[in-house]
Amino acid sequence: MSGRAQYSRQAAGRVSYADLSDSEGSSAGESEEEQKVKKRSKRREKGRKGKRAQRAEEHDPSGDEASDEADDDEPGDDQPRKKRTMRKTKSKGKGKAKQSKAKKQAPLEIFKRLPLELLCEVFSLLGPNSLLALSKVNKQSHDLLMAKGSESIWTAARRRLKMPDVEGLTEPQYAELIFGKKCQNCYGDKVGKIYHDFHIRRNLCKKCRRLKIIRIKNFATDEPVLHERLHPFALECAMKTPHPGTEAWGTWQDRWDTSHKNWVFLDELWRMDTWLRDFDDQDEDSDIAAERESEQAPKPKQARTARRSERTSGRLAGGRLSYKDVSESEDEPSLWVSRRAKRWKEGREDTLKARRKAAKELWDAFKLADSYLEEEARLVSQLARAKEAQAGQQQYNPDREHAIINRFVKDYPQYQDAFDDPAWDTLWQDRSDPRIRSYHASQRALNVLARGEPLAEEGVSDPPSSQWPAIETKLRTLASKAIAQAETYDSAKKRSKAQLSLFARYDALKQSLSDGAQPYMPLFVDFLLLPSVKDLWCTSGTITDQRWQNSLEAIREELDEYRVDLCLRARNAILDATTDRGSRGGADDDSDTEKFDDAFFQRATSFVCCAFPGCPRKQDPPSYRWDWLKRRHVVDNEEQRAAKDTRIDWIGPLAEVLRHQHKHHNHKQALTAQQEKVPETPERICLPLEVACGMISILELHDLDETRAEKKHLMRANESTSGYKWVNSKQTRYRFQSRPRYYHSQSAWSTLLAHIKLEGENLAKSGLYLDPPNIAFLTRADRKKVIEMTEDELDSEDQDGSGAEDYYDDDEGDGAEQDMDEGD
Amino acid sequence: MAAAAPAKVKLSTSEGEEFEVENDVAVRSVLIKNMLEGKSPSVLRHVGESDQAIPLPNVSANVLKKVLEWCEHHKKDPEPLAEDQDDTRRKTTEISDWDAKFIQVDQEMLFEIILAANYLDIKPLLDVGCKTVANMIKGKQPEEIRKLFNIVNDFTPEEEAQIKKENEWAEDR
Repeated sequence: MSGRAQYSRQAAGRVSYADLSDSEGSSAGESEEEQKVKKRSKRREKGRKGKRAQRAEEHDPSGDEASDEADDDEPGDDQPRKKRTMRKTKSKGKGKAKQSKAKKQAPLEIFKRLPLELLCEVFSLLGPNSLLALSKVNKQSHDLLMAKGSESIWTAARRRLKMPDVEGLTEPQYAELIFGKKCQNCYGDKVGKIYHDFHIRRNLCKKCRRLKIIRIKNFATDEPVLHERLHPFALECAMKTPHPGTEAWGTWQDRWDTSHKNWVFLDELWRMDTWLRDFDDQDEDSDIAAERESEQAPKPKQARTARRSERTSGRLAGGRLSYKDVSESEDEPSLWVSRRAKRWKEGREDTLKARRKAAKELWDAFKLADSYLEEEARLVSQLARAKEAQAGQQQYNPDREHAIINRFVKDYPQYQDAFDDPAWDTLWQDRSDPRIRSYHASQRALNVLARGEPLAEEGVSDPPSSQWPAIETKLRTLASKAIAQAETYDSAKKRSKAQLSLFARYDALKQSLSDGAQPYMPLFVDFLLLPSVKDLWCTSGTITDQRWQNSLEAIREELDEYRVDLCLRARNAILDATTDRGSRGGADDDSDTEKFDDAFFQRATSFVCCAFPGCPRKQDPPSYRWDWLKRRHVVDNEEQRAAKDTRIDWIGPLAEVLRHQHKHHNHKQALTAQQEKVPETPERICLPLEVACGMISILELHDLDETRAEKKHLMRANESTSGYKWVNSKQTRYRFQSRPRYYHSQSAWSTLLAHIKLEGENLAKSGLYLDPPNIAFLTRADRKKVIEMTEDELDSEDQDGSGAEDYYDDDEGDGAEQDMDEGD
Repeated sequence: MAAAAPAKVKLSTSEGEEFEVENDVAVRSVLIKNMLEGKSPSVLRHVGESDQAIPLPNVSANVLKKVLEWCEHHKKDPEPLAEDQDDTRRKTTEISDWDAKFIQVDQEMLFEIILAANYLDIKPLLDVGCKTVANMIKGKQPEEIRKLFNIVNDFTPEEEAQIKKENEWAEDR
C-alpha cells in the first residue's frame, strides 16, 4: 500500500515539527539499502542541524558537542542560545590568549588592584550607562555592582542626571531600560534600532516588536484558538502600549490613530493569564475545602489546568506555538471566573494607571539620558583628539624608515620581497590581491615605527639603539605574515584556474549524456568536489587530455553514485517533511521500494524545492519601449528577464527541479576557499515542512487525492479558481497589519508556495518557525468546483511514467550507466 | 635649622632612594603635612625635625618622582574649602590642561599614581587619577572595557546568558 493513505488528513496537514527525527532503527529487518538510507539521513540530519534547531533537539545528543547544552526544553529559545554559547566559547578562547599575553606584559586589572573605596570613587564619576557596561565586564565587577548595597551608587549616578525616581524598577533595570542597546527578547547582535517601550518596560527590536506586540482587534482573528483559551479578564488586566512605542515613533497616521490602547505585549498577556488562572484555582481549592462546591466549578477546572500547562510550555517559553499545540483545539471557551480574579481585576486598574504615569516619567528620563549621552560622546571624542595630538608630535621621519628597512633587510634578506613596493600596474588589476593589503599594513606599521629620531646606521660606531629589538620582532612578524599571505593567495589562484579549465570538459560530458540523465549530473561546483575530479585540480600541473581520459572511468562511476545519492537524499527530504515518525516506523518495511520510483516523485505531495537560498527570486521589472510598427509599448528586456527568472520550476518533480538548477544556478565559477574545505556536496534539494504543509492544504482545498495528484492537476485546479489567499501570513504583515496575502495569477500555487518558502527561510535565520499556512480560496464560489481526475488520464500517465527513463530504482541503475557510456 | 629659607624634607622610597623636596611641595600630601605638624603618631613626631628621611614604603621611586612633579606644579594652589571641595569635584569631570598632559602615562603608571595619591592623601591628584580612569571607561561597551584594561571575561556561557536577562523587568503580583 502506498504510505500516504495511512495518515489522517489532519495529521498530514499539520505535521508536528517535533516528530521529525528518524526512527528507522525501530524496524526489525533492515535491508542493505535501508542501512544506506539511514546513514545518509543521519548525515543530512547533521548538516541541517544549524538550520532547524528543533530537529537538532530531537536528534540524539551522543554525537554532537553542541546539543548537550541544549538541555532546555524551550523550543523557540534554543537556536539563539546555541549561537550565543558558540560565540561565547570563541570569545573565551580569545580571552585566554589575551590572558597569556597580559601575563607576559603586565596584568592590569583595575578591579583587582584598586582598593574598594577608590573603585567607588571612580564609580561615582560615571553615568548609569557606564555602570551598566561595567556590570557586564567580569564576575567581580558584576557582583560588586549588582549587590544590594551598591544600589546607592546607581541611584547617585541617576540623580546626577536628574532622572526621576520610578517605583517598581530596580536601578539596574532602570538603567537597562533607558540605556540598553540590546533587544530584550532575541538578544541578537545585529538588530538595528531598539525601541524603548516604557509602558511594557521592555526594549525590543523591530522584528520582536512585530512578533510580540499585537493588536487586540486582530487578536481574535489571527489566533482564534489562543484567543478562546485566554482568560476572559487577561486582556483587560494586561498593560496596553501605544502603537508608536515612543513619542517620536510613527507617522502622522499613527498620531492620528486613536487606538492608543489597542496594542498589547504578548508576554504580559500570558503572564496575566497565568495569574488569573492561579486565582481561579485558589478559589476553587478554597471552595472545595469549604465543601461548597458550586455547580459549574469542577468541570472547567480539569480542562483548564491541563490546557494551561500545554500552553505555557509552548507559548510562554518559545514565543511561538509549535504546530502540535495549535492542532489541539478541542474544547469550548470557559467563561467561568472566580471571585478572587474579579477582585484582583478591580485593583488592577490603579496599578495600570500608576504604570502609565511612570511611563511618562521614564520617557522624560530617556530624553535626559539622550542629552547626557551626547555630552559624554563629545567629551570622549575630545579626549581622543587630545591624545592623538600628543602622539602626533613625534613626526614621521623618512630617514628613520629607510634606516629601519635597510638594517632589517640586511639582517634578513629572505624578507626582501615584503618591503618592496609592489608593482602597482599589475596589482591594480586585481584588487583582491592580499599583497596590496599587507603592503598597506606594513606601511602603516612602518609609519608608526618611523616616528622619532633616525636610528644609528649600521657601520657607525654608535651602539645599536635600545629600540631595535622591539622593532625587529615587529617587522619580522609583519614580513612573514605578508609573505605567507601572498603564497596562499598564489596557490589558491592556481587552483581556481585549474578548476575553471575543467568547465569545458564538464560541459562536454554533460552533453554526451542522454536527455533524461542530464539533470542528474551534478552542478559544476559540486562536480569539482567529486573525489577523482578533486584529484585533478588539486595536484599541480596542467590538466591534459591524457589525465582526463585516465580519470574518466572513475568520474563516471562517481557520477553514478552521485545520482543514486541525490535520489536518496531527495526521497529522505520528502519523507521527513510529509510523514510522521510513528506511522513511518511501521510503513518502512514494505513501502520503501514502492515509494522509490518515478511515480513517487511525480506526485504533488513529493514535490521538492530548489534549496538555493533565496530561490525563487523576484523577476526583474520589465522595461518598456515604444514599438512604432506595433504602435504600442513592448517589453524591452523580455529575453533577459526570462533568462534570469528563477521562478519557473523551482518546485516540482525532482527531475524538473534539477533541470531548473542546471539552467539557473549552474555557473562557470571556481570554488571558494570555504567550499573547498567542505568534504560533502551541500544540500541542493529540500522540502521545507511549511511548504509541504502548504502543498497539502492546497490539495485539500481542491479535494484532490493526495496519493495521485500531480502537477498537471494542480495547474488545472489553479486555472479553474480565481486564486488563493494565505490567511495567517502575519509574519509578513507590514506595519502590524494582519492581512492575508492574495494570489491570483496563472501559477498562483507556486507563487504562494514560494512566499511560504522564503518566509520560512527568513524566520529560520532568527530561530523562529512559520505557523502552518492556512490557505483558502479567494472567493466562496470556488469551493464548489471539484477537479476531477479521470481514471483513463491516470492510466495514460502511468504509461508515460514507465516509458520515461527510470533512474530511481537500483535495478535500473545499470541501464542508466549504459546510457552514459553510449553517449560518450 | 632653616626657618627663613625654604625648609627641605627628605623622603625615602620603597627602594630606599632618597628625595629632597621643599617643604611647601611636600605638604601637598596630607600624610606628610600631618607628620610635619606633629599630628601623626608619636613615633614619627621627631621625623620632621631631624635630618632623617620620611619612609614611604608603599611608593616606588619613579612614581614618587611623578607625584612630586605634580606637587611642584600645584604648590601654590589655594587650599579648597572642605565642604565645597566635595561638591565641585563631584560635578565636573573636567581636568585642567596641565593635569591632562601630566596624566598621559601608561596604565601601569596611572594606577601607581592613584595608589600613591591615595596613600599620601593628596586629594586633588587622586581626583585627577580617578577622573582619568572614569573618562577611559565612559561611553564604552563591556567588550571594549575588557580590551582596554586587559580584563578576562570569566563568565561561563550559562552565566553570560543569565546576565543578559537579569535586568529584564518582571512585574510582581
